[in-house]
Amino acid sequence: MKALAQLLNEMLGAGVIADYAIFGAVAQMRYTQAMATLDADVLVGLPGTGGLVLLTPIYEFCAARGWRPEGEAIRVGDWPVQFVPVFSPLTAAAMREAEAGAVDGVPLRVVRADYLAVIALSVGRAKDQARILALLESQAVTPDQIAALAARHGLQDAWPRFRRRFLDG
Amino acid sequence: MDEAAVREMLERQAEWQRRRCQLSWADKLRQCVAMRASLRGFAKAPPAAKRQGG
Repeated sequence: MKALAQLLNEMLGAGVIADYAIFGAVAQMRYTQAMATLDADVLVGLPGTGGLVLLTPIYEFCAARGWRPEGEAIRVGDWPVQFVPVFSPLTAAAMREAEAGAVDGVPLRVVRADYLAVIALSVGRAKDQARILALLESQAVTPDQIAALAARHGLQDAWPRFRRRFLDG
Repeated sequence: MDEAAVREMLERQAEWQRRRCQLSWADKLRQCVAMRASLRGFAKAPPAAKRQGG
């Protein structure tokens, strides 16, 4: 993960990406116990976002440093990495408001717990529901924080449904 | 095993899980890499081994 942190910071410095933040299971593990996951997900903002969103500069930058594609990811050290351009106002805000974390002394921007929960709520698979419960159990986020953020992003109906199903009674 | 013993066992397990949450992020990510390697090992196990316990 240190190699990925260094790579992302270099990309940012070189202007290949305008911003980034780790999300998904890797970000979740800041708060919960370790879990098995296949890859690391990185939200990226690309410079000059008009028209087509192309990841080619990212792939070229990685290749120049010896990191090669592996399926739909790029292997960076121990981690297959999926670069995901921000795809909604929710993910754009999650990246913009990311926290400054660090791995083995290397700075790494990482999505906040409340955004992780609401992104999971918006996706809604069984594993996303489990992630919300784990974030709540670890007290990384409160139900009220999730409710407020969900309402700001048009998920005001999804949260009460989740709450009724998993938390109430 | 009576109910009290089961409850005590579950509480010990929950405490162990809470302690694992307190590890550093970097350590948890290293555990994750190790888990992935172990799972790959299971996937490559021969069919006879996969059936054990089934």
